[in-house]
Amino acid sequence: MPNRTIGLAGNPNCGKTTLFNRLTGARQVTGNWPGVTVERKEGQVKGKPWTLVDLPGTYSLISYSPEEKVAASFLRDTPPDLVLNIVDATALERNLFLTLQLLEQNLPTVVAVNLCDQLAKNGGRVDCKVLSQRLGVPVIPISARSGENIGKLVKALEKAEKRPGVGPALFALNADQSQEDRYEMIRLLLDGVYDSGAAVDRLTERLDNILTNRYLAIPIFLLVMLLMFTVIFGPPGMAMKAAAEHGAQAVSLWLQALLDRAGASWWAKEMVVDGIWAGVGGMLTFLPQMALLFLFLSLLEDSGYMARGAFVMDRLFQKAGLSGKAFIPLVMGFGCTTPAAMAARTLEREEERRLTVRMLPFFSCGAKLPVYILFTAAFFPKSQGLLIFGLYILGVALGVLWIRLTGGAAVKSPSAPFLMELPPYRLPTLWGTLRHLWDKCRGFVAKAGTVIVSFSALIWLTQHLTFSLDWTNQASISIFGTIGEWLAPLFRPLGFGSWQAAVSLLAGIVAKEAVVSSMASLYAYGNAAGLTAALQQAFTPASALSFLVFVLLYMPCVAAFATIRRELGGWHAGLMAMAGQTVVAYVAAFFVYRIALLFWPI
Amino acid sequence: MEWTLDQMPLGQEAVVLQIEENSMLGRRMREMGITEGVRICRKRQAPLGDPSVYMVRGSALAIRNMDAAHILVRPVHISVAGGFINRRKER
Repeated sequence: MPNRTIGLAGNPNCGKTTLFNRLTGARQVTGNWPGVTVERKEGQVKGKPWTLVDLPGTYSLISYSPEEKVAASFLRDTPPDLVLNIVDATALERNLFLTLQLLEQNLPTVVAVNLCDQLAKNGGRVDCKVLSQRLGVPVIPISARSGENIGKLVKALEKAEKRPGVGPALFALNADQSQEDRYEMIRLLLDGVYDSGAAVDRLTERLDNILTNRYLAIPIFLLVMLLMFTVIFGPPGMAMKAAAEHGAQAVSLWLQALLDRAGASWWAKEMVVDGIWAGVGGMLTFLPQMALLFLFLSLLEDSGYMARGAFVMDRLFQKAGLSGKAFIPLVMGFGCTTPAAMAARTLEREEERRLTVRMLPFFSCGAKLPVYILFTAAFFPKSQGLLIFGLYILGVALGVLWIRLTGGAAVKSPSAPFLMELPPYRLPTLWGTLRHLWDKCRGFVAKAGTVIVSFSALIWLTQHLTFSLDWTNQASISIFGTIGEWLAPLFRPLGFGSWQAAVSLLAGIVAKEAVVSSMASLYAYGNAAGLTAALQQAFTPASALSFLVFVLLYMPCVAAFATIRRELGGWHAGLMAMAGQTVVAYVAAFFVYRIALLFWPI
Repeated sequence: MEWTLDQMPLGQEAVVLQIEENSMLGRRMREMGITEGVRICRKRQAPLGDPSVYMVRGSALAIRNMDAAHILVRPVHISVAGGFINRRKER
């Protein structure tokens, strides 16, 4: 049996992924299509020397979204030996639009009709034999979910060698056909062959009556968001994070013991344990919460509820050049920017993904909260809640403004229209969900990991070496500390020109949690009680406010940076975004300071 | 009697006459099956009024009002009389 490449193409939401999983089992490789942030999946078909390439779900080959470009160029430039087209029996008319385009590629093709069981439930039917005669290619009814007829499908794939025949109805297939003509051809093809039954299945109808209900829809959606948030960033998620931290600690000790026994030098030990493992371990402690987030997103997407959420929320986002789908990643941004940036992958349009990812850091992440609490307790104890809430709102407002300003033409005239399918509700498969989860987690660890590890190692080195490359444990004379001292005067116009503040802000680049811990060790030698008093000495109400605003807005932590850089597609875009944010932070803190001085003159 | 799609009352079925839009949006709509002569029905409206869900060729599509305004339709039979009369007044 010869080796073959098979391209798997079909509409979104037609069970393509389920079919892919069924055909390839555990042997899959995930990556990206070159040049775009579109996921590419490839796998070997079980028991055959065939490579199955999962093309992105598309409705057509000739529009301009990155997904469609990818599919079109794959078929044109690196044509597979065979095309497997999966279509949804309950929406056959629209699905055949892509099928006709695929047949035009003049490659051997097999059509698999999925969801026939659902079609039957809706009271419809389809005659695959006659359809096959008319299309000139094998048409096999299957159920990807239950595995029905997969054997028959594989046999058809084995035998498929010839180019699509010219069936009786298929005489004038050419690329210049208008969409209307194509649908006319589809009508002819399906005449007498297809009865769609009820347009919507009963379960979907009933659920949507509740979930998109005028009064219930938004509260329900917000509840779902709240549930997600509480599980990921509340007690369950935090408990898992703490467990992961314990685990990381244990590994740290184990590593130390291992290196001791191997007789490694003291600096090698420190480098590996405090430097590299601290970085890697720190990132891995994110993993439980990331996995929970991916799980939720998977379930929302595969069940079909995500589309309803976007539908309900869309109105609010239209003015920002975004659509309702951006709601979820942005809300997650209030917990942690890093997983939220990954959640932005659910946005289909690349432009929207980029806008959302760039807006995310303005949505104040959870790690900054300790800083807010500390400073408001020290200077504004009576209006803590109000102030912190105000900070969050300020972040969102400035985020929207900044993105509008720098989004350019893309924001004013959306490049692609909002036209979203609301798929029928479906129960996600266990295997599919787990597989999805595994892929996403692996992706996060691999890509974000390398950047975080190298950055952490670098920062650790600069914290322990002086410029003359002597070892030190004193922060003030290390490279890191010295840089802090150089930067300090820059912050004087903002009211906090001390080297301790600068170093703490630098430390915040590693992780926002480090801002408070740095301050604690630099100002108060680790004495928590003394910290408040020390801050009250070192800052004034006005400078406290400007510091808070700066922390709110300046560049996010390394982990977030690594993820954002990846989502934006390059170092240039990533660094520009960071620089832009920091500039906004500086300007905003400056204004806040000057205005605050009017109320609290030093 | 000609109406734009966004003026259709909920539950009313219509036939598409024309899509007055030739950019990406129009192309997209046609690809998804909104072509001349196809039956379309407005099923639901989002709580905030926009977008709405339309049934076309067996699928539910969410379309924004400002985009639906580019689609000219002719109602098939008046099943929601009151809705139409009110709409005439709005114009």
